[in-house]
Amino acid sequence: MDAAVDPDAMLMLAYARGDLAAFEALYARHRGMLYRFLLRSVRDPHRSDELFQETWSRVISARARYQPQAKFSTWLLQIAHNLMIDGARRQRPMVDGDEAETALANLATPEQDQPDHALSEFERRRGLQRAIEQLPDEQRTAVLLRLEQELSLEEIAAVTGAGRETVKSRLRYAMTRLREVLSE
Amino acid sequence: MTTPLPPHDPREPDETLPGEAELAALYRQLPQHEPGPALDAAVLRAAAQALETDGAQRTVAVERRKAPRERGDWVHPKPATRAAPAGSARKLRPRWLVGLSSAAALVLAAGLAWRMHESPRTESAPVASGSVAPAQAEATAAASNAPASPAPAAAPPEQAASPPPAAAPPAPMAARPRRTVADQQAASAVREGRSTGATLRAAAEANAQAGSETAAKAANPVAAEAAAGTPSMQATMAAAPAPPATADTAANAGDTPAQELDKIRQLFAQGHDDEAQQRLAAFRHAHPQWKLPPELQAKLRQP
Repeated sequence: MDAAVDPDAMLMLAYARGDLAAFEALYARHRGMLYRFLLRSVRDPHRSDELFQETWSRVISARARYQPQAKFSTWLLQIAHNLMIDGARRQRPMVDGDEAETALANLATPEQDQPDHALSEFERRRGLQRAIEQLPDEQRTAVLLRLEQELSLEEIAAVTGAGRETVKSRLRYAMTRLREVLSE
Repeated sequence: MTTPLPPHDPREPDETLPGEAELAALYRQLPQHEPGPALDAAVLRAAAQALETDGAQRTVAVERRKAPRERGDWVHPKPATRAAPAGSARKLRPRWLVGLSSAAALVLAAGLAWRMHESPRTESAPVASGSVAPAQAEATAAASNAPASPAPAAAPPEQAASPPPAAAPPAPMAARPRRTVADQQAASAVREGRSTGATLRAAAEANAQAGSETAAKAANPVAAEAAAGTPSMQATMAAAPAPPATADTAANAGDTPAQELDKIRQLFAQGHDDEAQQRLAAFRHAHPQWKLPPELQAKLRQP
């Protein structure tokens, strides 16, 4: 998508000119996918909330300098990814293992998605979720950006700061591991 | 801030990895978590506050552009940034005024110093040439042409040495240039007097008038100062004792050569030939270039 005609970029520019409704529309379009990306990356709801709010604060602060040279979603995820990396460098312990599984399981789940009626599907989703959590950080981020955001290899490379072939290799390893977990 | 667009067109179908479609379908069935209402409210509130801050800054900037230029603010006439608080503007003003007042004080002091330095030269000349200097010059010229009278020598030392009361305090600085100018004019008068006798006679007449104005000069402090600077003949003669001769023919150091010659004639006429001869000889000795009248010249040649 061309950044010049990116509707998200137009909304961001409108907000920079003082249109609060444009920001509200922009926020409504990206709030869910950003939150899920953060939640499944850090696996800590409180930390996810902090990162989520901090990411949007960066967007608000950069409104006057914003230039639509890339897709808004790519820029937004890049900010979130950098904040997440900075948090990991500060040695903030991440929740992992059973604790992370419990935390994710305790989150509100739609009623129709409860595993009472589809136990096998539930087991498969739970298996996928655990497999994603057990991936290395770089592979997990690449998989989440690919499956959740449906970003291209180049966009994932732009968000993570890695090369395209590196991203492709990470995705290959990650998906192979996920398929192995699901086939067990 | 922003990431450059990748060279690959995202609209084209990306390279599909093996098993990706199955994993993507299963992933979409995972719970779709979303941020809570409190988080949404916090983010939207932050966005609204940012716009309010922008509006306030823009309003201040526009008001400042419309406002008249601040006095003394020539470096930043109307910056687009937020206006400085009133306290900082008040701090700048005294600094500007202190500099200006310092420069003005320096200029005033330099002008006063220059004026005081120039005032003795400019003010003494007209005063000296106006009233005091001519009389003093005439007196000096008369004294130089007069014979060395024994009267000053006979005067008491204390009286001769003591100046008039007006001259007792040290003369101010302004009196010295005046005295110098008066001396110069007296010297020039002497030169003129030696060259022409008519001029001397006129000076003698003027001196006679000046002698009558001695009291007025004593009342005038400037004239007293000028007279106190040099051992004035008038002061010395005033202090000298009266001679034994009569008042009409008595020798007076203040007399001009013409007056002295008149007195000598009167002495000859009264029969005091010896005294007349002595005074005539003294006059000749004092004024060797003075052209004597024929009758006195004849008396002088007689033994």
